[in-house]
Amino acid sequence: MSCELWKLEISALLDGALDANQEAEVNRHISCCAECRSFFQEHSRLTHFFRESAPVLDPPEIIWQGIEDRIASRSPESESPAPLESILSWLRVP
Amino acid sequence: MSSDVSQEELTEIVERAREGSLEDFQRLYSLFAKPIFNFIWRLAGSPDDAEDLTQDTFLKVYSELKNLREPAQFRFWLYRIARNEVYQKLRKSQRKTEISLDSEDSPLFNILADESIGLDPEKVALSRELNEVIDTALSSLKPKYRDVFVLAVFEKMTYEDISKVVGRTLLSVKTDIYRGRLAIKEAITSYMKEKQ
Repeated sequence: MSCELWKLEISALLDGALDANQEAEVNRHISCCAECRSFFQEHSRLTHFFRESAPVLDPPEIIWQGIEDRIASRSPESESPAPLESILSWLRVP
Repeated sequence: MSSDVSQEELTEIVERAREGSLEDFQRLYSLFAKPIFNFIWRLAGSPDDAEDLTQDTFLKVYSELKNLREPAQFRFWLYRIARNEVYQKLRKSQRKTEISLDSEDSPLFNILADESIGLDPEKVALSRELNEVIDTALSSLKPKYRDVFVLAVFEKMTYEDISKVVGRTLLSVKTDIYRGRLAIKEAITSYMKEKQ
């Protein structure tokens, strides 16, 4: 198998996407191939950097408020009266 | 899977929300708002856009929930809607969303600043720098690499789950994540060179 194909497996290894046998096989290759070992080390650091250093934001509360408002404005109670009803209410004598 | 509930509980919540329970819909929101907001932020590149798109995503979920045939698939369906919302917006604006972190008016800077009250200014500067690197790297990726990369690396989703979200084969997901990794490495290397 070419190093290009091994690197594809190493990428999957970094995401925990290999089973135990595949993992052992990839690790054996890494231990005897300098090019793939360097790829593994470099990308392992990068993946760790993305996973551990990237900030995770809390969604602002305004999002739910907006959703609630939009849902409420769609609910039947808040819908404008049917056209006929509007016309009749116009004609209603106080 | 959101860590707060089991798959069975989640399915029950989805079923009740599908029958019109606003309380259960709100529960779904509280379980998934954070990962979806961050997922959208990583794809769209701006927290401001992420705010609008998260709202649009959950409103779409609310109106389409009755059409979800398999409540157990809710999570994948939700991420699919979020991803579609982002791509629709990107297509509409016909540009890659980019934000300038050099500007103190940047929404990301404001959020980081708010969250960093009481923190060491050096840490705030470091956060900004890290975000600049991450944003630069992600925005350099083609959308088909970016979505799977974000799901695998930031969301820590399994390849099988990613395949359900993006509707591509397992091999295609695996290959695209690998290509994404190569492109990210290249983007970071050239970013570092520019900075030196």
